[in-house]
Amino acid sequence: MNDIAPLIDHYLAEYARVERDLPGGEAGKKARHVDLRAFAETGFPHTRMEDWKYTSLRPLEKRRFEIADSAEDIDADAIAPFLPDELDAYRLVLVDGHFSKRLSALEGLPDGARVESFAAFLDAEPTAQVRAEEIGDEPGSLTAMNAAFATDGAFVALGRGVSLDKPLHVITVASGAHDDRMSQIRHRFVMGESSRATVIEHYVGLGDKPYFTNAVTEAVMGANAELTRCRVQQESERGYHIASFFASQTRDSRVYNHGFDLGGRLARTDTNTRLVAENAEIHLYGVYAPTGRQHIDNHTRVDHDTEHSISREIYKGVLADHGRGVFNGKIIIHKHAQKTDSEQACDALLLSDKAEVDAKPELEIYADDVTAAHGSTVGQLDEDAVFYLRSRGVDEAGARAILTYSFANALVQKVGIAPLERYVEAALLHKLPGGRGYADLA
Amino acid sequence: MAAHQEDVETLVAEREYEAGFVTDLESDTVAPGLNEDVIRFISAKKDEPQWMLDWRLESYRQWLQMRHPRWPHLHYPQIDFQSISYYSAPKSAKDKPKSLDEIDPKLLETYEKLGIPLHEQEMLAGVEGAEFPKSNNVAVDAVFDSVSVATTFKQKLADAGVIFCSISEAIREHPELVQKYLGTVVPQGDNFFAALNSAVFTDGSFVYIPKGVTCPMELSTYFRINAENTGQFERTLIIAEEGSHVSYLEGCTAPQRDENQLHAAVVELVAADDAEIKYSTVQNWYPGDENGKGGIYNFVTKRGECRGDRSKISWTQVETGSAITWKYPSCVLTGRDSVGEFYSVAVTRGMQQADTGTKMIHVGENTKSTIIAKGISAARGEQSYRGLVKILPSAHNARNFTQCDSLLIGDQCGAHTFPYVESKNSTAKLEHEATTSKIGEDQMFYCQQRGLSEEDAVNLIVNGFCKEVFNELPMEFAVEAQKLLNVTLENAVG
Repeated sequence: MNDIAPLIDHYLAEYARVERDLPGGEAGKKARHVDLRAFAETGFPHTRMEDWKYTSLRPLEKRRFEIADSAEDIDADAIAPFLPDELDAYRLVLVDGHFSKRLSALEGLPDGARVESFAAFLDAEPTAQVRAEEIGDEPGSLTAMNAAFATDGAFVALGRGVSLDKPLHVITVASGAHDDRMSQIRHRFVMGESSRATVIEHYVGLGDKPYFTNAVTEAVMGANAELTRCRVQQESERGYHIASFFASQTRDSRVYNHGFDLGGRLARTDTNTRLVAENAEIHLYGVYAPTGRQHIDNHTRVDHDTEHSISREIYKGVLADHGRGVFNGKIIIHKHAQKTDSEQACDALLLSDKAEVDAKPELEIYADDVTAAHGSTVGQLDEDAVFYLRSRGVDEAGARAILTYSFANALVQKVGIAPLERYVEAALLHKLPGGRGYADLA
Repeated sequence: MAAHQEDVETLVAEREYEAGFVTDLESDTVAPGLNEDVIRFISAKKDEPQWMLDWRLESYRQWLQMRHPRWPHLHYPQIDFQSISYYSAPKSAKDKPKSLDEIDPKLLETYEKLGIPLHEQEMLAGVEGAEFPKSNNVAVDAVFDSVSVATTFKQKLADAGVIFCSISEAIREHPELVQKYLGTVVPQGDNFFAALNSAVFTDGSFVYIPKGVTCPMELSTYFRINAENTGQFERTLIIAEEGSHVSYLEGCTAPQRDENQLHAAVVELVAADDAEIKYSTVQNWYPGDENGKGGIYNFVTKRGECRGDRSKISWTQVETGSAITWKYPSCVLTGRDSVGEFYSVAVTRGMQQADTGTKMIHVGENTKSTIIAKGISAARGEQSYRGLVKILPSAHNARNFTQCDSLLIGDQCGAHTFPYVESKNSTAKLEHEATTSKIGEDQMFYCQQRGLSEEDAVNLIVNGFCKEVFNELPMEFAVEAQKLLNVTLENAVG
């Protein structure tokens, strides 16, 4: 094992350097210290840990990332390509880990809806901490690192029965203007009883400098609350992206989580939810498309910790070039969680001999009166279908692009926000080999 | 619902272990503990050549560097490897009997009590009498504790050119074959338990099928743990030369006792071009009592390599015994067009825990593998399917189908699935599916409405659940497997 001490020393020194500027009161600072120690004890996860078996963070360990002092002064034009056409949404923009008021648009929020930067929330509430109390355990040293360093993010709190009338588009921009910047982003969505919201978490990278984005999102779901969360990850090819999601779901609450992992040199997402009261429902849909030398790792974990809860999960991977994809879906049905209804599927399309996919759909079941099924496939395009399209006059590359696109498209269509669907489809087609000529399909 | 609840309760209720008895044989046992001297003692006892002793010592040194694996979904106390006696041989082994009729009658008595399948089958009726019917088609190499005490049908097999003997004998008589193949599929340092086995293995079977020969009969070995405090460390090596076929049956039962016993076997299979090996296991060792006291700890490394083109290795197992089962019979598909299969039924009841599954490593082109795993978990049993399907870049057009189904009986048990899929070839096709359910109330209702008793209905449904696997068993074993399963469910209805 290589010596991690210099790495830890760097982050301890970095913390000391920025501590004064971190948002939040004394209680928050104390909690940050606890998390900093937790991170310092273990450092980055390594491949001998089961959860990190297929994803090595050695490239991250070799660098010494630093917190940006303020948002880089980027042009509004720079983020224009990332605004889906015709998308009518509130906008909250973070640049290099700091809220940019200039680029954001949060006017006209409905009564009972509080939407602001996470730093503003921490500064306004003297007892607030980075971690939401309601979520409980958020395992992992990278989560601890985030809880220590978190500079900003989006904070949403909806009162009872409040619906956000438009989606909230949260854009996290890495300016890529300086070497080795890190953004430690923390989002929190507190959904009051019977409230509804749609949040688009959009991660984008500009420039060509290496950077590290470490984002944690928490969702506290009140009874009968509904959250639609669309995560669109388009980091630059020098970007390292780590994102975790923790939800706690009480009675009748519903979370629809859509993930589109398209960018980044290395991306890892951990999506976790705990269903704690009956009739809670989680939908997890994800598309990942590593091409070039990208490495994209999706981990999900659903804890059915109550009777009568529901989970639905579908992940689809499209892997080309030297792309590497990992899927690990864990479903745990706890002892008393009778009448759980759970389904999981993960499919991968390998388009190149140099690509690799590693999938592990796990079930841990401790109750007998449950329905739990999972399926997993790895394969390639149906040659008959390719032939069919070619016989209709589509060239080979085009035929493959169309079929690949339709494989992934089923999950794009589940989003339910037409402008965003078109945007994601176009981005997907743009990535696929031979797909650019068919961008109008979207 | 009420009826079903009763099933559950009675299943949880005690069922005396049928094969629970201790045969009183004077054992030639070495004092507990493990060091290089013990290994030298074992080696000397067996008149082994120097190279074998060196191989054992090398394994032991590797084992010392290794750590006890903790990744399985199993909970058991730390094993004290120094409290185990590593050698135990029945006294009568001193004058090696040449056939079954020379065997210590107590051993035959033991087999009789077990009733499977030595005496169960009419083809073996001749064992107690002096003569074997000519039509016999099962050969038995009986392993009683650590020494093979009898080998039958030797002549018939020898006529076909088949070598079927204990591994100790093979080391003496066929050193060139053993040296060529031993440890080539499961290397000495493969894992913690394989290294331990390589250092201290006491006996096991050796099978060599020459080129073009179809083995004239099913080969069968009885493994049985007897003397208290002795672990059993078998080593089995089966080599099928070009174009040969062999079917090997393995069955185990052990007498009741309170101390946990360790069992760490290694089985290696090698299949050359066009060869086929079928390896079937029924494992029914003492599972411990209702509270998890006693029972066998079963840590087995089984692996076959399809070295030749168009070769085939098929594993079939019915696992109903042992307190802890840790076992992943695997296939390395190196040859082109080679085929690997794994069919498994595992039952955990009481406090039994099983972490079992398979690995299919696709190396060659057009290789195919099939995995069918059925898990039944009752009472406080914990069961995990853990499998790996790995497609290497060279394995063009590889194909895998995996199905694992779990049946839960009672709300205190657990069933888990950990399937790993790793694909590095874009022409490979892999499918995996898994389901978990309980016996449906509508299924029970349907059967009972047609006049079946609750017990018959449960038997019918469970047997149907396992049918795909039982169909793969050789006939003799299919009978035993059905019997075992029915016994397990015997008191299912109160």
